Order: sequence, then structure tokens, then C-alpha cells
Amino acid sequence: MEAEKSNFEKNETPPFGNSWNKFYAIVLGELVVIIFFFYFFTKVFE
Amino acid sequence: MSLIDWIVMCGFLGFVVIYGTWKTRKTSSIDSYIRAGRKTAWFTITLSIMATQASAITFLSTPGQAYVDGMRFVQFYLGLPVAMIILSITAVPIYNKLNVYTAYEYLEKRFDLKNRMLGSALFLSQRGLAAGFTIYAPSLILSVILGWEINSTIILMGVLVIIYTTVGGTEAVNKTHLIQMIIITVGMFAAFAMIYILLPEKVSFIDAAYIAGKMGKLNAIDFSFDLNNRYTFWSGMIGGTFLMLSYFGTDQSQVQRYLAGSSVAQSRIALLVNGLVKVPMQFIILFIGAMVFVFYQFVTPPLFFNPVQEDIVKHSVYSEQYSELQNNYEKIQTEKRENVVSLLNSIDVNDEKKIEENKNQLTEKNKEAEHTRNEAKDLIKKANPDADTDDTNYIFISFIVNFMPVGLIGLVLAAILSASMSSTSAELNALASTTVIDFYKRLIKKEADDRHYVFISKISTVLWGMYAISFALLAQQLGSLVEAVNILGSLVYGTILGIFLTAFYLKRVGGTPTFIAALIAEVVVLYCYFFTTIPFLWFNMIGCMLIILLALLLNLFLKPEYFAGE
Repeated sequence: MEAEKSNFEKNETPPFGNSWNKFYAIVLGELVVIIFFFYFFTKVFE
Repeated sequence: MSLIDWIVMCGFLGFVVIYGTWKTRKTSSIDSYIRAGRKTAWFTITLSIMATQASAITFLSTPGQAYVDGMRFVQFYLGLPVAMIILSITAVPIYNKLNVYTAYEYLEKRFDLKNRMLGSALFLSQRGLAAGFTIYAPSLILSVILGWEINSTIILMGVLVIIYTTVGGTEAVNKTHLIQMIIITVGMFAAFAMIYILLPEKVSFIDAAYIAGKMGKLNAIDFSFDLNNRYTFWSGMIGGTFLMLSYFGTDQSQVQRYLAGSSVAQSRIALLVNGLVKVPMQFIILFIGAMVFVFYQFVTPPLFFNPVQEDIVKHSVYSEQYSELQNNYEKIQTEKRENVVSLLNSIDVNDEKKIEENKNQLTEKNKEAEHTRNEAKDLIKKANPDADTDDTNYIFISFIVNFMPVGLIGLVLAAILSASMSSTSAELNALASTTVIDFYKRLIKKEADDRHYVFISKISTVLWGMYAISFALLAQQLGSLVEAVNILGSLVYGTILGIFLTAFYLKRVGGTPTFIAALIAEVVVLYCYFFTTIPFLWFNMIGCMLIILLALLLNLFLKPEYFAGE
């Protein structure tokens, strides 16, 4: 149980961005970029 | 299908089954069987989450949808990244902290037994039928296009999945998902590359995109707010977020994937990476469909893509009329080809006036072609009143079988069957886990050793597998029911999500108000489905919001129960 708990805490940092909030921002940022891309993609080729 | 294709396809599928069974044959504890021992890394979980969501229909139907309707379906997934963030913040740490085996176990810890039973019963009723549909739909399409015997296809696919899912449980599902996702990705990229190679030499990638775009197939975004329009930015962002929250946060077939994570961080990363890659992946699959459409601007497509129905009409009293329509269709396609070449020339010299002129001519020709196709569909319906005149699901597979080189056909078919097997295995795995943990272990036999629960889980997997196969076999006689199963998810997801969101965020609301609110909300959602024209994506939001509001209201009148679970 103790080992499980320490493992749980040890792994709490995300692989990049230092904090989870930065990781969430990256996901949201990508979504915004995708939406802009879809908009221009639709407009350029229509 | 050639011998090489058979070898490639059977080789890939056989490898998956043998690998999954062999690697996990020693699974003996219930924790290993249901949560893969909670030692799975994010990379495997991400692929497993994606493989669970992507059924064979995703790969058969999605490109066809782009061919017919353009790429607007991609907006359906816009809410997914938002849902992944919300679940990473809420569901993942809560499930992990409470050390649950199923999502519904949490409902008892938070509320009471009746909410847990309601949640798990809604899941079992919906997912049990969906598992049958996951096997049935690709079997039907493959039997029509390749002439395979449908019952044998259903039974063979079902039995293969039952074997490795029963032997290794979640660990087998996760390990096979890894291989299956690799096969699926390679298969789809190979198909994409081949379509590009098959385009006429003079047509570049950009030219192909212009052709698709000018003919309305690259409509990836639509900001108009129209409740009757199924796929818009708003329905995707609002309705889609609610749907994805329900699916990934409360559907055991998905929750079980990240419950297997070795830590909160690993499960979170898996969900967030899924949020990063899912929308681009769907975009690529739809773009493949748009490119198939471009390909068919240079090669005349079949008047109707389902060869079985075409054969019936050709051998009926309507055969002459159908031949006339085919000749007319061929003529329109030839004229269209000239317009396409002219359009490309005007794009090359950037002649705006000419571009507009050609675009309008092409739009007119497309309308004519569509009109001819509709007339053909009318004849098909007259020749066989039971015929399904929607041939969207047959477009991509028909292209694969008729134009792909030997070897690649086998690879793409292996990818499609892998997708079907990956979804089915996750579903059977989740159905068995919920049956054993939420019903058998909770209500029938509370204290027993691990070997007993693993044994019961294996029996449960086999029984759910047989149930899915039986439904798939029966589905041939129940055409309209199959369509109903497709929408069933949206009829119950909102209710399940409402219960979970109330549990997560409204800590002063007790079990009884939530339970009553859930029953009322489900009735309202069913009313909306049967008596209104509201698109099904909105049912998730309606059901969910109704539960939250009613539970808050009822909590004022009923004896408050304070949350003491955490």
C-alpha cells in the first residue's frame, strides 16, 4: 500500500510542461489551432 | 480475393489472437484480469482507448460519409479534447483514489446501491446490444462486397475475440489493442497513399484538394447555429463534449482502459494524448473519403455501391429502366470529367471568372448525377422493398476491393477486422467486469478467492460473447432495430453522465434525489426521441442538465444526505 502510494505521488508530474495546467493548455491550444486550420482549409478550397 | 490477400489478412489476425492468448494465459488474479494489475503505461492505454472507440464502422463508414456529405462529420469530435481535460481533472483521480474496478462502483461509494445498480444496468443494456452491432455491421458489409457467408463471418469473428478476451481479460485486450492499432494505422496510410498514386498523373495533391473543395467535400467547419443541422461547430463543441464526457467518463468499456494505468499520471497522459491525436486522425480518415470522391471524378463510379441490391434490380422487371439510368449516369460522368479538367486549368491560370463558371457547371452536373442515383434507388426499392438504399458504408470497401493492388487488399481488410475485434473485445471485457463486480460480487457472492472471481469473469465473458453473436445473427431479421441500437447510446449516455456529474460536483446532493431525477430525465429523453425532431447529439446534454437541475431541486425537499465517501 505504501509502495503504491509513493508510486502514485512520484508519477504526478506530467512528461512535459512541468505542471498539469500547462499540459491542459497545450491540448486546448491544439484544439484552437485545429479549428482555425479547419476554417482556412474550408475557405481556401471551397 | 487472391490467395496472397487471404494469407496477409489471416496472418495478421491469427497473429493477434495467438499473441493475445499466449502472452496473458497465466492471468490468475481478479486485479490482473480486470485492471491488468494496474501497471499499464500511458502509451498502451492511449492506443487501447483509441482502438476501443474505433470500430470497423469507423473505417468503413467514415470515408463514405465524406464522399457523400463532405468532411463536416469531423466536427462531431471537437468536444473530445475538452472532455479529456475535464476527465483528467475529475474522474481519473477520483477513480484512482477510491481504487474502483468499475465506474459504477464509485456511485455506491458516493451515493447508494440503487444508483450503482441503475448506472450499471443502463450500461449493460446499451453496451450488450452495441457489442452485437459491432460484430454485425462489418460482417454484413464484407459479406455483400466479398461474397462471404454472413453467419460464418459473424461466428468466426465473435469466437476469435471471445478466445483471447476470455483467456487474458483486460491485459489481453490492452496487448492486442497495441498490435491492432498498428495494423489499422498502417492499413489506413497505405490506402491513402494508393488513392493518391491512382489519381491521374497530371493531378497533384493540391489539385485533388481543389476538386474536392470546389465540389463541397472539404467543408470541415460550419459556424452556423442550426438545431436541425446534425454536424456544426456548436453541436460538436457542446453536444460532442457531453457525449464524449459520458462515453469516456462513465462507459466501462473506456473507463476500464485507464483504470489499468500504473498511476494517475499515466492514465491522465493517456487521455490527454488521445485528446491531441483523435481529431487529426478523424480528419485524415475523412480526407481519404474526399480523395476517393476525387478519384471517382476520373473513373465512373458504380451507380449504386451495394452489388447485391444492384444484382437484384438487374434481374427484375426493372432491369431495362436501370440500364437506361446507368447509361445516363455514364454520360453525366464523362461530361463531368471535362468540367473537372477545365476547372483545373482555370485554377492553374488563376482565372476567377472561369473557376466560378466551371464550379457552377460541376454543381449542376453533380445535381444531375445525384438525381439519377436517386432514381436508381427508387428502382432498387421497387425491386426489393426490404432493400436499404443508403450505400454510404459500401463506398470505401468497394473502392478497396476493386482498385487496390494484391496484398494491400488483405492488409486493409485486416485493419478493418482488427478494428471490429478491438472494439468487441473491450466491450465484452467491460460487460463481464460490470456483471461480476457490480452484480455477482456485490449481490450474490461477496467473499470468495480470486480464482473464483476470475473463473466467473471468464464464464461471463463467454456468455456476453455468445449474447453478442446471437444478437448479430438475429440482427439480419431486425433491420430497424439495428438503427435503433445505433442511437441507443445517446438515449442513455446523458442520464449516466448526469448521475456522475452530480456525484463529482454537487457534494450536498444525496442518492435518492439523484435517482429520482435520473428516472425523470430518462423519460424526458425518450419523449424527445419519439415525439420531437431534435438531433440525437443534443439528448446527452438534455438528459445530463435535467438530472443536475432536478437533483438540486429535489434535494431541497427530500432529506439531505451529505457526502461522506472521500
